[in-house]
Amino acid sequence: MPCYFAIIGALDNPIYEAEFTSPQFNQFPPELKELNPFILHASLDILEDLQWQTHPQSGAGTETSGGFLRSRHSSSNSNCYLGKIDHFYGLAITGYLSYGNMKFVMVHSSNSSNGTPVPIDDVAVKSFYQEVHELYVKTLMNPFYKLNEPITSPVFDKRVRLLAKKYLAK
Amino acid sequence: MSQKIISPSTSVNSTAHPGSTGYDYTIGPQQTLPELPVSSSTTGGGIGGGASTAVSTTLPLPSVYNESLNPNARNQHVSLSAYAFLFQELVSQARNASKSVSEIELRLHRSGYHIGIRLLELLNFRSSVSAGFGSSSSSKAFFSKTAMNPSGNALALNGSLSSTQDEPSLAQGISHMKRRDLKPVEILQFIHSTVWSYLFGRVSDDLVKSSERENEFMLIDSAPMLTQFISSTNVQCDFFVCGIIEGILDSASFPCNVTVHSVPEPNFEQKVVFVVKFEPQVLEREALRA
Repeated sequence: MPCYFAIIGALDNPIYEAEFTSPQFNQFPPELKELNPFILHASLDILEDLQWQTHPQSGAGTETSGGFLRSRHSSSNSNCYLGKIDHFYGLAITGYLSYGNMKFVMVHSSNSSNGTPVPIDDVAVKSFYQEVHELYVKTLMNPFYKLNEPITSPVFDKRVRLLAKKYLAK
Repeated sequence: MSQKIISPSTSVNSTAHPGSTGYDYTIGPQQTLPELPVSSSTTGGGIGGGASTAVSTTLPLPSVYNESLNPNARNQHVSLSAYAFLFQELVSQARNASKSVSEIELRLHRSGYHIGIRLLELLNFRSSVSAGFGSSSSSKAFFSKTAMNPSGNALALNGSLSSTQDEPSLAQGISHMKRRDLKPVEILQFIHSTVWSYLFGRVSDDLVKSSERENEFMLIDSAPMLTQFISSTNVQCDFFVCGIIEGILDSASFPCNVTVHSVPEPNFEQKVVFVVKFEPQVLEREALRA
């Protein structure tokens, strides 16, 4: 499934963006492609709401619908991976927070365009986020990298795409 | 950050960017191209990017991404004497560039701040990894009193050789991530125990909440390791550690102000107290959750 992935810094600026598409999968339709950053940024409010909750998984339980925004299979103990945080028509948005409160957000699109919700494989998506988190920590270890600056390294880009191929290509 | 004009992504022809050239915020997200060559022209680091195209693909240039975050992958201990020389130079450079005592302390504070930002992510990430993952030897203090032994050097060499792209990443050894610290007390305990153990090989001597003010906490160190060779002057060199603490708390979204005060006692001549004063919005956020 095509995905749009972005790391959002503490100043709400994109640190890194990528689209994971390939000819086998559907590409983002051109009119939707432009909307991706907006959809993603719209979900940041929910992410920042969950950021300071002690149990972010159960946080949406206060809603009467039993947490329709949340996927239920995300692990209960950790509060880094937040699972599915938002949806927008056929698109699902998942979120992850690093310890320095960098926001890792991804828009998942389904292959079919019939408007059904996208199934999220929480285990694979979580592993993907953790691996990208490790790459981000490595970036931060570079003394020439400043916090909240765009990550322009081609090696980082390549590694993230390899991870996407490994975990997200279904 | 240099400001460049951000062009709409429709204006960019994707064929104009063959291969991966890294993220550019003026271009926006790039698609994964099917004919993307996996190993050519992308093996170099960001700085040596121009030269890396000429280098053969079998020899990847050293890059931060090829290093392992595993604490046992290389010998990372620095002898205290070597460190003392470096710190002395840091202080004297700050002294030469400054006009007042507070400016010296501010410069030391700034140098520590960037260390703190990085320690928060690194130490939390490392403590998420299951204990048995990778080689199993207990991590010691960063500034260790023992000098490096030859066997340690050999270990470090092996570590750097083995840390190629084929090595499993540290993230694969994570069963579940350590929780993010959400409360001021939790993050201060992280500094009190984890950070202090990493830097100085022991936990700090005490963590006290101020009885007078709600937003003040005190970290007490009876024998600060970094400034033990600096006799008492009117310049407080422990502002370097203040910077580290403030960097950690700031990037964890606990904006605060950290100062250090010398409190000599009969047994502990160099005893210092780090006073952490949180900004009011931290307490407001706490009140909202309760």
